[in-house]
Amino acid sequence: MAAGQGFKTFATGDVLTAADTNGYLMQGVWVFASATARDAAVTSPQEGNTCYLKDTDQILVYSGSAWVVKSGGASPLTTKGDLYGYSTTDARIAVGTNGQVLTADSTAATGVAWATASAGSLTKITSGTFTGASSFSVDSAFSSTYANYKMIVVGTSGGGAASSIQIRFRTGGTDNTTTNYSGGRNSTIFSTGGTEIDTSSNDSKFTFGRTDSSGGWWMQFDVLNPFVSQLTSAIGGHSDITRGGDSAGRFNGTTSFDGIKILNQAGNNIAGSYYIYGYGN
Amino acid sequence: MANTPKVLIINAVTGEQELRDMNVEELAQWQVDKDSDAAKEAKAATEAIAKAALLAKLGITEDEAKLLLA
Repeated sequence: MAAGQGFKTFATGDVLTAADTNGYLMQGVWVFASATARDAAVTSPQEGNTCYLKDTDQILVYSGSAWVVKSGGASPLTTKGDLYGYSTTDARIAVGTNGQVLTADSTAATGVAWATASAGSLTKITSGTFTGASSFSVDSAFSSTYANYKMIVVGTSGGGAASSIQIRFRTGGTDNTTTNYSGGRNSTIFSTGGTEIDTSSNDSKFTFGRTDSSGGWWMQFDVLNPFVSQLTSAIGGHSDITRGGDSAGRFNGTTSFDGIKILNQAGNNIAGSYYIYGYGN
Repeated sequence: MANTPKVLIINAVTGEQELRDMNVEELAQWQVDKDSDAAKEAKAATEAIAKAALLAKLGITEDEAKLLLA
């Protein structure tokens, strides 16, 4: 087959030569039943030759060394959620299962694969609200899955009177009231810059935060080793409307805990929200 | 008579919540805690009074006492 020569405007009286026919008139889109039929008919394709293959519904152009698909290929997609990928040719990437994420995977034919998302370094275990009680306990929050936890308490009501907020650990739905708790808060009084220290030593719970007579109160802390049979500690901070600062406490024993209680020392009802997360081991 | 304090117990796995009055054991523990905290506060108050009396006896302020001990 002759190489394409571009475009030519014939004038009246021009002679249509074989070269003109092959170089101009034959340079359209050749339609074949298949690549086999094309290759049988066009034994010496030239760069720029174009064909349409009826069996694959594809338009191909000869690059000078090979026929290259330019368009018209049938979609490989068959199922809701399928993605259009590529291996050495266009290929279907079948939809993954619920919750999976698409990741690069050089071992997959298309270079990507659906996989279960990694848990991440901080995983929420539970959250909720509390109201109408002087304490709230969250059971079955600690397990062997994580060694350490983060807890955030956003108090919206402290019961209308200044009081200490204290922490106690639980196992199997029961408070541990042994006198193994020591801890406290070191608060800066916002209005004066003075300090206020409230501690517990060898007590049945430890002081960690505070409520004022009005407004919110907040605590955030890490709970270290509550479930494993090692000493358990809580370290973080607290604030209310009038003061705030560091807080810490520990249980001097190797008891395994699966729950935690937050209680208002004065016995007044408290309200707010809580969040517990597990740190990836 | 004051209302019995209530407790809220939440199961993190099932999401079940129980809001109820303190039971006998919890009420007893709460009373123990209250007594213990009150004793601690009374002790702290007594110590503060003794401290103030000592400072007055020495005729120095708390800051001066801190300076002395530094």
